Amino acid sequence: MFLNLVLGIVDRLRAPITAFGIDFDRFRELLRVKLLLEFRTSVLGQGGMGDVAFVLTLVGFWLMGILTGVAALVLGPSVWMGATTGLLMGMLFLLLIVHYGNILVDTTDIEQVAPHPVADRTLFASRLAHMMVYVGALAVVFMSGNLMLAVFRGPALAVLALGPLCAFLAVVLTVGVVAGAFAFLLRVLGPARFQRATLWMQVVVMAAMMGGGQLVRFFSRDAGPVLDENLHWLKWVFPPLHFVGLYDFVLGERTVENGAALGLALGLPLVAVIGTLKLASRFFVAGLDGSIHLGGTPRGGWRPTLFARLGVPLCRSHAQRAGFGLALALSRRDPFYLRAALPSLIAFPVMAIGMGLNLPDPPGLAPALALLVVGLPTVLQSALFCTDGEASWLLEASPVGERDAVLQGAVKGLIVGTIAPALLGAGLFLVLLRGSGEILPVILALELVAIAMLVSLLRWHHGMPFSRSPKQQAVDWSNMGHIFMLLLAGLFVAGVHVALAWNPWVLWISVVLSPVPMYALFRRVDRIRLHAGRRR
Amino acid sequence: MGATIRVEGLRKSYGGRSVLDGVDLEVQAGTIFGYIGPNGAGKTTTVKILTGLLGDFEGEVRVGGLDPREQPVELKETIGYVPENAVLYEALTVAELLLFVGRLHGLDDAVIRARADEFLDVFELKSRLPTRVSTLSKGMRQKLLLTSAVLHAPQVVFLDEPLSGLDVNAAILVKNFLRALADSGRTVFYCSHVMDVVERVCDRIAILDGGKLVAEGTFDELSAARGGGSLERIFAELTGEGEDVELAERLVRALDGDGV
Repeated sequence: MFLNLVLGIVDRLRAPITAFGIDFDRFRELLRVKLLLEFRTSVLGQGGMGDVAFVLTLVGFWLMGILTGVAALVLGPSVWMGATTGLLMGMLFLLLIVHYGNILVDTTDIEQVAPHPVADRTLFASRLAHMMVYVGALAVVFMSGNLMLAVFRGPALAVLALGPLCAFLAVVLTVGVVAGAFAFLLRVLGPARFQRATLWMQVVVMAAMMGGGQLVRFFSRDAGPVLDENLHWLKWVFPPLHFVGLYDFVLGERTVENGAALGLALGLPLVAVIGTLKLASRFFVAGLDGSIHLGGTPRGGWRPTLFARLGVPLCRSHAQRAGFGLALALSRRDPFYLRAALPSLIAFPVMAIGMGLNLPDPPGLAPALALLVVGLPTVLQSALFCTDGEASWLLEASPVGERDAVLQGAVKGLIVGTIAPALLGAGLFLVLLRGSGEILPVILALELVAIAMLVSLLRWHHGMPFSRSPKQQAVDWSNMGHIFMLLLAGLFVAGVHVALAWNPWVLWISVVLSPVPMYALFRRVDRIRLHAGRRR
Repeated sequence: MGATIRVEGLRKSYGGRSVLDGVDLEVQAGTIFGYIGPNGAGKTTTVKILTGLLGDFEGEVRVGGLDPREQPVELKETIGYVPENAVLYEALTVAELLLFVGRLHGLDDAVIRARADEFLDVFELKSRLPTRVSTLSKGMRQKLLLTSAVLHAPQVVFLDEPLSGLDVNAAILVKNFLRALADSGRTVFYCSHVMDVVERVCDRIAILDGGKLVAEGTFDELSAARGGGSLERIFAELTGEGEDVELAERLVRALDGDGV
């Protein structure tokens, strides 16, 4: 039914879609098949529209819609319009960067599509529409909660007419801007660098959103008042203020500024979409075929990389070393894992660094670095999947009776290759920015975070890393309890850090002694086992 | 030499649909055994059972004296397997993939390197060690797959279309390698749709159709029983509709018609 609804809307948009130079029939078929495949696997607990995470996201959007609806009741209609479109755009932008933007660069079906006569722009448009289905559903749910309250503040007709219109324009603009950035990178850098460039764009944007404000605050502590005085330019570049202008203009405030805002509110979404589709007229199919990886591949063939060498002392069996090598290599090169894990993995430390720089000490560092603890589930969850998950037949065909050893090696590989560098990088930045006098508190914070992560990791319900295809991804309820516990663990780490960093002697002793439990916990990674429900 | 593979009354069904219906087989050590049949005949299912990848079946199966149902791990230590259309970890390098597979078989890195170096040298892939699997051609991937399947010196090798994608010289090399493996006392279980290769390479041939063995013997025995001719003709007589020219013409007519 939902599919028919989507296709019904698409059919009604045939004329404008064709006007953009898109082959409508192929576009519709590409979209239909993609959605059909997702619906077929969308029983509760699997990917797609039935995805539990998506349902939770919908609930979150509905609640935020209500929250902004309250703004209408308390602060008035203009503020309501600004808050509604601003929050909607911000939330969608973050989701697009972290998650739904990956639809644009999804390579899982490119081998099937590429041999057929599908133009770049048509394929891009079908991916864009696919993305819009999710984003549109979220926006509808957001506005349903929002309008329910805003309509009481009135004028009802204006709220009911302009609310959905502005929300629609906000959604189109947000999607257009994100997709436009992808298309721009494709056009400027070419197909060979497209996948890598878009990954780094996601990383940088997410890091900027999560921690950029804190870093700007740290580096511009003396420039605050100057920035505040110049904020009036925001109304020309901050789209939610355009929608406020549109609302005020329609309701009678016919000033030049409001007229200009109305023009921008109506014009920018159109410009964004047209510009995006124009940019995406070439290279898209080739761009999806491009490679993506971090760091170099070992040049000497058999000669292991620096990280790979660590597998010898850290692993206790051949099977562990197999898992270690696999996890280490794929965590740096597998496109699906990188897109799923890297933006969060870098954004959390950036946010931690930002907080660590601005908070007074104590508690200063502790709550900031506690944020890093929360980054662990991202790594473990994302590492379950792999672009070539079907290659896990190699494991099935091998004489490894207890696959736990491969799991143990893979977890060690993820610790060495992903988690430890992220922690050390965050610590290094903090020391560099706060000064060498902070080196001991930073080291202690890192040690405590590592201990909290290892404790959680030992209790985690593990699946075999890199053994599932992305299309088979499932929401992992079995670890939800651990994820919540990690949030508490983060706070606990913060408290312990405050207590131990208070006195210089205690700090010294803690720094020296903390590696003991760290080492003991790391040794216990040799005892982790595949969760009973995930022994595949 | 005795039988390395012994299968009695092998049955397997998926959701009530019978795929193997009482297959009996005996494969002697030191032979190349051709296992052929039309699409959907049950070849791949047989191989998955023999290699310990499928444990849910009826009948008695022994490979190298081991029961795939009860001793799958021990069995996998002694066999090598090259599936058709194998998915590999594209992001790994050739060296990393071989190390991964070799370590899963419990080999030391030094042994993996020494053996793999020989194979890659002969297959002219040594320069590809540091490159990623995704950059390899179809033939190169097939050579890599074959190398990874025999790296642990298995006693029995199961091959599903092993010559797929190989150039003529590489195909000759692989065929000679299979012969040398058999001459060294190892057993090669060879599945293919390329009849002339099966005819020339295999010591014995079994033809499977609809989950049942319809013929088994040396090529000469099969040919004598069917009044001579190539393996392709014998195969078509035993398993085909026998109206292939008419069917082909029907396909062309379908292309020329507009369906109205």
